[in-house]
Amino acid sequence: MKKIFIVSIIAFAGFTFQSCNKFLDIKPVSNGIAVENTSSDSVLYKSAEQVEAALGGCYSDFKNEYYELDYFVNGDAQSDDAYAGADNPANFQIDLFTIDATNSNVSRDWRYLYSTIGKTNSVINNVNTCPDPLLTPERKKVIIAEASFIRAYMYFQLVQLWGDVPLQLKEVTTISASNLLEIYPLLYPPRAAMAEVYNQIIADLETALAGVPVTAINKGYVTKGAVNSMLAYVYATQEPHDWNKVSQYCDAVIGGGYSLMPEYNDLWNNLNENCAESIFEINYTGGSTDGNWGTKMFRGVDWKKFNIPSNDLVKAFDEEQDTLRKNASIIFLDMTGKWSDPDWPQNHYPFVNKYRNFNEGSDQNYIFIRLADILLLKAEALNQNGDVAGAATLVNQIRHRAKLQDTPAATQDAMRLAIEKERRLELAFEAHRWFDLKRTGRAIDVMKNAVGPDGQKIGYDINQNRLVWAIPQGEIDKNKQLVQNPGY
Amino acid sequence: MIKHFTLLFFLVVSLSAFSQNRSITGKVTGADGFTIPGVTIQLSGTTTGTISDANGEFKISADKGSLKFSCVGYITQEIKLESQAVINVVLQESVSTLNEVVVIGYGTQVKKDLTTAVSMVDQKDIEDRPIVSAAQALQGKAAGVQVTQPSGKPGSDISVHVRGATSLVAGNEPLYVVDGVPTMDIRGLNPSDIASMSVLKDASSASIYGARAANGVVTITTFRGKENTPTIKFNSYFGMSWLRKTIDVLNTKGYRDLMEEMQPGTLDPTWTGYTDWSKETFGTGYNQSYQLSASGGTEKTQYFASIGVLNDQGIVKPAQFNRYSFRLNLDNELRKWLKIGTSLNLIYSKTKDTPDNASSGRGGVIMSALNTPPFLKIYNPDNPVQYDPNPFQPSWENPVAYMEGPSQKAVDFRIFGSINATATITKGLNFKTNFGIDYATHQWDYYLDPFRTVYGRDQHGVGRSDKYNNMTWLWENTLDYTRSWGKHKISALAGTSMQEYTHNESYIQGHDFPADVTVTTLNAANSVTASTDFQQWALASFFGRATYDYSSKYYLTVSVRRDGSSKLANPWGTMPSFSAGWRISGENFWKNITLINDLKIRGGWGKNGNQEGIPNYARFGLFSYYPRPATNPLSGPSVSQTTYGNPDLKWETTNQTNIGIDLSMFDSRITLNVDAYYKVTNDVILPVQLPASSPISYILTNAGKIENKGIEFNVNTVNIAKKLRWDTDFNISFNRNKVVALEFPGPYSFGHIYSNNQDVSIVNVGLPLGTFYGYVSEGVDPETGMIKYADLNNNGIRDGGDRTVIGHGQPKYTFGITNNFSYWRFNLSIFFQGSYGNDIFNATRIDLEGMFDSKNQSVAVLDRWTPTNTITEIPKVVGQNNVSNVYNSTRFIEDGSYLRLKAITLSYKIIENTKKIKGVPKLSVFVTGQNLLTFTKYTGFDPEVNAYGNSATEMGIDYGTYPQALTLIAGINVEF
Repeated sequence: MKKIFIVSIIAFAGFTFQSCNKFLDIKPVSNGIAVENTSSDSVLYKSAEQVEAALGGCYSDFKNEYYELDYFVNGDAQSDDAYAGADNPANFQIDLFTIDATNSNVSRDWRYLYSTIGKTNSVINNVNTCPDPLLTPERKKVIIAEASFIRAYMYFQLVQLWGDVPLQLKEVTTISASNLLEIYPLLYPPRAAMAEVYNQIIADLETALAGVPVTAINKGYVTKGAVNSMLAYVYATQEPHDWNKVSQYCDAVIGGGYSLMPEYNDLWNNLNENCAESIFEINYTGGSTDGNWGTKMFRGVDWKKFNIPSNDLVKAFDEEQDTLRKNASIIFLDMTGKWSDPDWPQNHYPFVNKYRNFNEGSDQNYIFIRLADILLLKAEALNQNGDVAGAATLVNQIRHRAKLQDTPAATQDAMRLAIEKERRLELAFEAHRWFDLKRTGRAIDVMKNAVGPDGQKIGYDINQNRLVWAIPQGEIDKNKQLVQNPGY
Repeated sequence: MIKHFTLLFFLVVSLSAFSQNRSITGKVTGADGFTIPGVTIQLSGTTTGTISDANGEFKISADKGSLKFSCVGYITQEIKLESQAVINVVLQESVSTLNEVVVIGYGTQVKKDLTTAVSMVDQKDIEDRPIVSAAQALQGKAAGVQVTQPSGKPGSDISVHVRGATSLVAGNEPLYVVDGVPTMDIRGLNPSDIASMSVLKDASSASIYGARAANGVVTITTFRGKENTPTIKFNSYFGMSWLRKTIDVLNTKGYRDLMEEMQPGTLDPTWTGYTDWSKETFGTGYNQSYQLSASGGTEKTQYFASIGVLNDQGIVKPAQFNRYSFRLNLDNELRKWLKIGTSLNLIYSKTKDTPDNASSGRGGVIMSALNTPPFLKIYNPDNPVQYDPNPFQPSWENPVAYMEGPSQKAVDFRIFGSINATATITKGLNFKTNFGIDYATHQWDYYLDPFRTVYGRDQHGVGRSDKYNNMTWLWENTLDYTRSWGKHKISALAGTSMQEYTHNESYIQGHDFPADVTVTTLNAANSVTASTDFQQWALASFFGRATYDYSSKYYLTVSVRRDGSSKLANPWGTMPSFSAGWRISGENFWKNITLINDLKIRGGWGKNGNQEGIPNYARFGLFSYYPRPATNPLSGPSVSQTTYGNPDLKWETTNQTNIGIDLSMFDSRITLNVDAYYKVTNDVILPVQLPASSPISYILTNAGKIENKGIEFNVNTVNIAKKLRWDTDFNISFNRNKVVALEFPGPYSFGHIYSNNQDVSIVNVGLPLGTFYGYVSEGVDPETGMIKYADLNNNGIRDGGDRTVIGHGQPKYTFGITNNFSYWRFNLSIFFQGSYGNDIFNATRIDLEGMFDSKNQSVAVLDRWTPTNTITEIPKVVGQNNVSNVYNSTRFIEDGSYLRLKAITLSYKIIENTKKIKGVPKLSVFVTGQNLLTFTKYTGFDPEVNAYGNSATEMGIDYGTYPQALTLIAGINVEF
């Protein structure tokens, strides 16, 4: 009995240990394996579906916190169109040009943008090695084109906000003793000159242009119209500006089958998603998996909101007697007893009105690029090239829809300002104002003259250094190659 | 044979020689008055002797010479015979613990034979104190073990570091082995069930646990039944607790003045009410505990069964911890050669959380108690179903809203136990198989109604539910052999172990609930998201140990363990150890030295691993999935790579050398243990933080080296051993921790401070873990009213290059001292414990003295800079956008040293061992004060604090942390 007991236990124990290595070979269940880290493992994406899903991951980033909220803070609150609002010191710093290198929005925006770049790199560099025959060479080309557009979009944000930025075009998939030297420079890249970044943006957009489809029903997918628009922006922004190129790409868009909505408000009443005027539009379907969380940061009476329309902008609308676009863009509500603020009276408090579906899990779309914007950009190019009359035609086309008279501007300088104002009123709260002021060299002048509630100048403390942001201190701490921008 | 005859001869002779012997009777009692049965009473120089009976009484025939009274656990006493007929003796308890049995890995050892560094804590250190977790009992009681309670929240985790921290990510808590089953979580274990705990501190004692032993091992033994009359014990206490100190904030006038300076004209003139938010937040806590146990047994079967009920309600609602524990320990002898042992523990606990360590804008109750504007009311006067909204930012709710707004509760159920069988193959050779199980289920439910809070209204009700179960099984087989011949004694052990852990979790979140607030489950949510997660790891091991003991003079121990871990691509690693000891006092030349009755030196070296915090699938680069709008045809969620795999990853290995001395003097009235160690951890796993230009924020790789060296002293003395007995236990530990090398360029930043978005903790070569990093504040510039920071890089501007090391979260030393006085039936125990030389980064003050937004501030800002008050420590009001006065700087570094009266207990034995009350042999009552006195310069709520819990990289950061309470309890112990 005793012997049988002992022998059987020992035998069983020994038997079990035979399969020891198998016992230890545990693979994840809740995550997919991207890199197996075995010698035979050189393919990142094994199937067509994985590649498509990875591209989906790149597109999804147009719905991250950066594009839901910060994109508008940077484009509008930083300009004279809106105040920071809400409670966050980081937003106040952006509004008032007092950001420091540890500003939390600055560091998270940098992170968000590069995170998407990493995802696009992974797609662009690995699509062609995918062995799945279901992934046709044609489809591979389209995927690379779309990912290239997304990468260019991110770099365009980066270069406008920070100037010189690291140019990261390769991805790291694994780290091991054997690839350490190879990946080290990828991990700790220096800043690349703006010109180099722009070259890459243009190269990516050209890749995109050759590959993406002409149209899409869901305008959240990249089309030739979106790529051409981006190229027009880039040539209008990069120094020196290339107005011929701007003109050329604007024409490509304008001739691409888009048309203005007859009524300005039709763009914002949420009845015409992906309309004929829309060129690139982030499509939200709502709900918990695909809800737009950003809109309730701008509208609602529960807690204090971001991007509160400024006195200066309201004044600009009023001076132009542009009630149609003013009402479409701004809504005044009675906030008595809810909160108070020195910029506006409690009983007549303004909010952004372009994104009107602001419930939890909202399905509010964001239009990032639309035809009116490109028409005005084309007008700007014509005016810069001396065609004041041609510019006036386009500006008036926009003004007529807003039920306004023709622009009185007749000289090139007057037209420049007229276009600036037209873009401001037409594109308010669409995250263009700050970048428009920057690329036209008007930022410091305009901001210094912005007025507050009493009609007096607010006195923004802005100088040349403040036109670009500080490199996040945390990034400099991690990467000794990064050099801080002057003045920070 | 001849020997025996001689003995007999003497016996006969002596009997005849002392034929006129008289009869002496007497009674042996302890210092507490209880009688002691089983005391050996021997006439010196003879073999005449007897044993005291159950009532402590004895009878012996003797005439002259002296009687020697001896008993295990008591100091032997000799009484000279004169003409007494009755001799009543009071025996003093022995301090000598040399013969105590110490539970080491896979076996036991007698304390005097130890060659390694082991600290012991037993039930005496636990009883009569409101101890919730066994880890608390180690605080200040074991040299080399630094225990910190990072928060005063009931049921919160406790940080235990044995001889310093060795790791950044792989964990620094010791491995607990409860009745042979390893676990990392002993929160549910009922401290009243614990008979003893041994802390295996050095590598050679712990290395039998190999890859999980680098942070030391705490073996916990619970009570087991003995072969005796059944005993029933009942212990209970009830107590109350309070906040130790308050922090004063501005009243309504002070607040209005401040806001008027910040944003003139924005404050409605009618906002003049006053609510004392501290009073609304900090209340009285209640503690109660009931323990009932029964034990006993026969020669073949012994049992111990216990039920424990514990209720700990914190000083800030709703935090509370309720535990119901059941234990059954059985030992059976099935055959002469086969024994079965069972330990079964069922634990059911309910925990309610009070969110802390967060800004008042992010739900932190403590910060909200300090920061909420004083003119607000609890409920909105216009709409009493809502909490009064903050007019500056309605989502910043008042503390009552954070405390009582959501209803939430965690319920944990755990089965923890083992069954083992030991078979004796031949004499000295035993085979043991042990099957252990640890099964835990957790369910957490949260509901926020759609009416009272801003967030609740916005989401129209929020529900969350987290459920998981963890299953660990363990199967171990060991073969051990002991044999002694002459002066030689050897023992050998060989074994295998297999262990597998599985975690299965589901998380559901929903919002948009019906208006009917009685329905709180997620079936009623209009919008729901859910996910599940499955994790697994396995560990396979082989181990062996051999010890040799020559005449209790020379000792040698060798052990080795080979572990394989599923977490690593190269799973296997081997961890050896050696140790040796020499009892100098056992040598002949020592015979004449009577002052020192025992002296042993010992030394050892060993290698241990640490794989605890390594992610389960660290060897793979992983994809994660994110929902996206459905495609047509369906093609699944979007995917992106979210971790970098590292095929070269191996576990951290710690090499530790230990030398120690055990000394016992004056008949064991003074015992001293000194240990010095040097511990180097190689291949420290670094989360190499990558610049954000890489999409994944870190890579795990073995790239660091951390050193800990230290010395620890443990002294136990019996100062007075008369009717009044006074014992002192003192221990002090010095540890120096340093990062010796980092292969990837540091520094690494940790400890993110919410309000200024700066990291305050740094890991870098040459610095200890928990180092604070930031600017050097030169105080308020009288000209500008702003804080002036030292321009350390002399470039004329304030930039990142001006930051430097500004403090250390780790103490220079920690200590504990217990004085125990017993007189007649009274016992008074006074336990002080403390920490010296550590700094605290008081981030709470950033939100209390920053004056950068609408948060209420502490009264310190009354002395703020104004054009007429230019010489001050407090800068001027800066308002909305400016956090430059509250950068992480020396302004918020404070001395965190403290000396604390951790526990003072007075107990009184009402009933001694007489027949006055039939059936109640023992009854005692006690009162205990916990944290009654704290001596510290720290200005925050409490110096024992860490907003980052038991993190090794962030230490001593205070940010609205749930404070430690001052507790008074009264209790009763009865034994039937």
